[in-house]
Amino acid sequence: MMRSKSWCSALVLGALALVLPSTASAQEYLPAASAHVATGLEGGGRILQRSRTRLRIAGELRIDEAPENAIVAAGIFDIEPHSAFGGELRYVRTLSPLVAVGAGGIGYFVPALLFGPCAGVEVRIPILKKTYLAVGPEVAVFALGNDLPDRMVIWQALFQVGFRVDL
Amino acid sequence: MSIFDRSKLLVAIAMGVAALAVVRCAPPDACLRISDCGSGLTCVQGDCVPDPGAAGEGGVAEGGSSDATVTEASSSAEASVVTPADASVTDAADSGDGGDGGTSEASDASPD
Repeated sequence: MMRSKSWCSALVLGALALVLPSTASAQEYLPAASAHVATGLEGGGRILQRSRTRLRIAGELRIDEAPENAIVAAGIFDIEPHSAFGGELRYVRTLSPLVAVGAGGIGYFVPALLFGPCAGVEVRIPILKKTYLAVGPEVAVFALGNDLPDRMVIWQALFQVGFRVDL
Repeated sequence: MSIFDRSKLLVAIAMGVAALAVVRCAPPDACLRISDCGSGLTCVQGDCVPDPGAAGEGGVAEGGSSDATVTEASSSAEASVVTPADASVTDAADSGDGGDGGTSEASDASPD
């Protein structure tokens, strides 16, 4: 009788040890920054032309518990032939140390409003310990905003080249 | 195909698209956004044309502002498209009527 009670107690303690969380370790943020230049094609309706040249400066945040998932916020600066300013917020998932894919929303605020979804693939080629050459295609569609002509949706297919640094 | 090979293929395709864009595609002279055109103009099918709303409100009627509009548009690549409005403004200036003639002709030149 006594022996069965001690077995039960051991089982309960073992189960509790498995269920109860171990000592919690603090989450650590893994920031990164990147800068890209992009150009490519853009169109709308029957128009197809070279797109504006774009500068994109981004900050990325991950946590060590799920380093493959990141949130990226970026400032977008069109630099030629017309200038414009906007921003971008996207979710990025790292598929391998070399490849990441992302999707989110992009918007221009100056000189007028344009909004839409965007997505891209980034290939990261290590050049220094924490620095990568980051290249890849990117697409965006602008379907909302007061800068759109009547009955037109603008699309962009860009290729971007830049650097990414783990901070 | 390994991930690295796939990555190289992706990069090659994207670089090909970029090269095609630079070599074969028209330079960005057609408007895609309303802000590509000057003030008082709007973008229709890639061309900057006088904005009917602005013309109706007298935006093109005022001699000084319409001159500025045409100058701004002419400085960009849309000058040839803006020619009808440009001509109407020039006619108005030549006839010495001030803005009224320009208003009606600018309205006539608008696509609507």
